[in-house]
Amino acid sequence: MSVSTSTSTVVEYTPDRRAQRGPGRVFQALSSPWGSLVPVVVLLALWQLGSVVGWIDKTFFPPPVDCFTALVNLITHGDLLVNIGITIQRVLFGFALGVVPAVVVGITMGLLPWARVVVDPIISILYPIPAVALLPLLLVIFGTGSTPIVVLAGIISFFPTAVNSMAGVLQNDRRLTQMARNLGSSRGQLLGKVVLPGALPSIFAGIRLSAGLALLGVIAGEFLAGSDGIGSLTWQYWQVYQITNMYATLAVIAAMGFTLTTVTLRIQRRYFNWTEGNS
Amino acid sequence: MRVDIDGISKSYTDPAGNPLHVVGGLTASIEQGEFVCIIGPSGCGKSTLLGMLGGLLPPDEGAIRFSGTRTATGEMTSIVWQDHALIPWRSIIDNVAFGLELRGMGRRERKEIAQSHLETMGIGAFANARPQQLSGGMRQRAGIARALASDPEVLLMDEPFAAVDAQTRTLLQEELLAVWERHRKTVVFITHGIEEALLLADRVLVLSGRPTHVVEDLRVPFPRPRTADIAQTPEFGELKQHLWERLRDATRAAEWAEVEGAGS
Ligand SMILES: Nc1ncnc2c1ncn2[C@@H]1O[C@H](COP(=O)(O)OP(=O)(O)OP(=O)(O)O)[C@@H](O)[C@H]1O
Ligand SMILES: [Mg+2]
Repeated sequence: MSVSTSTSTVVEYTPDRRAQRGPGRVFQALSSPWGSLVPVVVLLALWQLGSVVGWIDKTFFPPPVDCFTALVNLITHGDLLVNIGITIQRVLFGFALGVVPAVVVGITMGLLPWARVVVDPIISILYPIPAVALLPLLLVIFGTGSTPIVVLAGIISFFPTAVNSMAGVLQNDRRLTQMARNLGSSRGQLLGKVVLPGALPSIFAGIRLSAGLALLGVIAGEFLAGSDGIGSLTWQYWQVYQITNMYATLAVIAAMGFTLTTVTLRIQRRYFNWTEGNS
Repeated sequence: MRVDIDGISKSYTDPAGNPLHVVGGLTASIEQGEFVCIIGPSGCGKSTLLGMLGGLLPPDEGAIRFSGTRTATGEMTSIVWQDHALIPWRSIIDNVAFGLELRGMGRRERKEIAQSHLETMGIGAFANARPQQLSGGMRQRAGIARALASDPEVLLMDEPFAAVDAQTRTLLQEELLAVWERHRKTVVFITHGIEEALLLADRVLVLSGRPTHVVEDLRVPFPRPRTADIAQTPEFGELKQHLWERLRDATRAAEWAEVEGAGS
């Protein structure tokens, strides 16, 4: 054992000026809704510069301004808008085709052990198959045109919603169901007022994933089998080497995806905010 | 309502598949309008007993009988849960009105009743808040308001004040007593606190370890209305000591049983 000679010590905790100032101006500006566009604009500007000066290959990376001009041109003189409409329609139909049965199947599986025992193995086998691989089959069954593409999007968007709906029902809060039963709840009331509302955030999380996948499915289907729609345009412009036009269609696809994510996130924040900090 | 618990038993199956005998032939009677506190070792089966009283799970053997003239409009029992069990997506007032809504009462009427119970519990201003926005004490007030709003014959409370701080608990105890003085509903109140039991109850039942049964039935002699001041009297100290000894014996026995069970 060592006995230290005692020296007087002072430990002092003082205000943390840096922390008190909070996040800097630049950080705050960048994290605002419009500010989040700044990194994108900077990237485009660098691209523009690189492409014009010749740091990057103009053939594959034409200046964004040229692509934008192409976009405006396609909208005003071409049939871009028509194709956008076609694609949006397919996404919506495919999404509905997948998600509506998925919610029903998922909830049923959550509620009925029998349904779970029978359907769960089937889903487990089908889910991992990349649905795009089914496209040739769908073409054989449904011929050409919109139907196989819509069905493809439907199949892809079915699974996340089905699985999440089931999980949402299964994860219902036992305390709440006991509470409701004690207060005299019927089975129907238990379902309608406790179990299903409690499952909604999970169901909606699945629907969000499905929405993204429906878009992906439609674009992939149009790429491979479409004669119209945005995905098909992208492919056509690539084949005839109109690179700026191809980029214009890619920008449209990106905008569609961005809108989808933003809108669904808004809905989630608006209606399911009680899941945050819930205890 | 008078409650007769007549030799009830309950076993669970533990994850390993072995039977766990939790309640073993428990017999007790609770008079109309009586406030009964139940204390017992941890894990002895208090919540299980309350669940059976609340009609959530049937006893394996024996019976629970409610008898007397009905004076309330609601279900036979309402439970106040330790973790309040408020529905997170509903406002406080819609939580409190939940039992009335289940009964099909109209929106205006049930909101009015719920609001008056919120006022009684001192949280009238938080009617439109969400549970997550309230402190632990306020949530428990809302839990009590919900149980009272549904107007049961018997109020069942499972360690309702265990999760709040000491000052809030004292306040909640006094408020509960004040409310009870007016309604005089039959109350079964589970607690870990001996002092809490002595302050609140007409009678204190001490339970044994598993399989649990009543090992002590103590009448609390203090006149009502009571305040926390009775804790200063010598008689309170004696009763507290007495209950503590019984609880300690029961807990020791439960621990020994646990060790032997694990050893065999
Ligand atoms: N659904 C269940 N399945 C299996 N075992 C259970 C179940 N519910 C409770 N138990 C077990 O039964 C015993 C009694 O549980 P109970 O919750 O009734 O005790 P308690 O006295 O309320 O405990 P605490 O003091 O922790 O509140 C415990 O050992 C518990 O693990
Ligand atoms: Mg308990």
